[in-house]
Amino acid sequence: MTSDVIRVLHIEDDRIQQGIVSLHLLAMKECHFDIEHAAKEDEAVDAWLRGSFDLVILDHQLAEGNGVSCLRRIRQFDPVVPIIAVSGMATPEVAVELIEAGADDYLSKQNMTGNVLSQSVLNVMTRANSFRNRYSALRSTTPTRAAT
Amino acid sequence: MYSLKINIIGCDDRVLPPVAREILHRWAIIDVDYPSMAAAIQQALVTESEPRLFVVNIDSADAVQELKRLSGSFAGCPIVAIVDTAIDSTLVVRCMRAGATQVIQSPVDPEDLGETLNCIKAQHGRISTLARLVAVSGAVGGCGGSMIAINMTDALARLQRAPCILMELALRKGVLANHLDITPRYSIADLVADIQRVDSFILRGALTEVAENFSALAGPYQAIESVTADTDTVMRLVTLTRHLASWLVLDVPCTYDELFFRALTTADQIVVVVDQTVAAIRGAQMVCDGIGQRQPLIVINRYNPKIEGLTVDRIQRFLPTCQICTVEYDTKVIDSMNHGQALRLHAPHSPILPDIDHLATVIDSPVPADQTNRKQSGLLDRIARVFSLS
Repeated sequence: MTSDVIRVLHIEDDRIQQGIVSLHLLAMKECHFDIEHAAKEDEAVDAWLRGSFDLVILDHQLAEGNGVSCLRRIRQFDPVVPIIAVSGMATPEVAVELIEAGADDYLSKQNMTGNVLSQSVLNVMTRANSFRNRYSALRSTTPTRAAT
Repeated sequence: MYSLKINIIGCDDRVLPPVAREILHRWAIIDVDYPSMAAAIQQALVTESEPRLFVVNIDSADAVQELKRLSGSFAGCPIVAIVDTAIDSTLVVRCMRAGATQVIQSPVDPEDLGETLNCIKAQHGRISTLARLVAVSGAVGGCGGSMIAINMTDALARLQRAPCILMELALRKGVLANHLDITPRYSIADLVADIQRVDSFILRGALTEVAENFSALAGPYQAIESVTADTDTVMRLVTLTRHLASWLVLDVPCTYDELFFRALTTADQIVVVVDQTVAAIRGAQMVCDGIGQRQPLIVINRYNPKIEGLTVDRIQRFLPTCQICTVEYDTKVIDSMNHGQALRLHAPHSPILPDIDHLATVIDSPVPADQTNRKQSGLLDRIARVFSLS
């Protein structure tokens, strides 16, 4: 994992949860994080468009807006950026919704210890970086169109 | 049409014309003309995968030693040695001992060469010396990819009654030696570190027999530091190992690096192991996109049909072009790995053994013809759209 600062967009309307996730992330020795918070769907999308983020952590249920819809909108801008969804009620139905929307991992708030979150972050970041490289390699081997 | 491709090695202007004429007269394909046997061993192992006939000019005692390496590196491929007995009358016998299938004298008599080629065609014309290559990987760590690789190889060895090798493609601490309770003399790390010296004799010595028709080549199981080796070197080892069995199963750690993708895209069959989690299914989708038009067989490990929403049918919708198999949960799987045994040996009545046998049967089925023509409409396309590449 890179020692550069990782820009995180944390989409969560509960201030306590915001604090818990920040504490977990800042306790990780492998990476350094710069965390920006957004509490609403539209606010999150605006933040996404303004900033350049390496990781998104997203609450499934937002007071204003919808977590899944927010995930879909961010995915339209970037199909690879790692997105970890968290939810108070971890059910298979929610998992299906999140897979359809393009989440990389799904954690339940009740079971989200520092170890669980850090392992998830490392996994999705490593995977996303590898796939970005892979897609770049595939793109560079694809013949470009001749100028007309 | 002569069914074997022909590689000519070390034939100078004196020897080459009559040999080439006779070969072309039989509508055979001269695939490559190598200047030396060392070059043939170096290059052909990496680039060639079909059985072939070597025609080798032996003009010195040193060349006999090279011939021995060549025959060791291409077990099962016939070799015709052209020998100048005027140099040394014992060369004929020494070439035979070094692995030549037929020996003819120089200057070459076209009729004698013709009879030799006919004889080899009759003996070797239908051989298929390369193992079918199956790459098995988890979509994310902890899905049970190694467990599936071990037990699928065990099932293949039993059902096919043919030699099967399980090769752990790990360059840092591997798990296969522990899972099979073996202490191999050499690991993959040892072999790639000295790849120039590796031939089939050395490679056979590195294999550890696990069961009848089931051998293993483990990753480094003692080393703490990872071994550095380029992807070409590791894949060369894979190609060499394919000469030693009917099936070669690669246990590929899900590192998503260059070696990971090379192993998957080189394989005849790709198996991606998932469990019923968001991370694994998303990982499988990304792997499918990353390997282009090849579509893997998806194995849902520890499958629980009672998890609503993540049933086979639902997962099939997320991976619409992939064939899906399931292996249900059985506590004896963990027991078997802790005891260093394949599941069949440890728990012969395990309820998931039929699932694994079915998997081995599916792997043996031909790849659907339309698979290579399926339209790619996944992540890569979306990336292309985002970056306005298409």
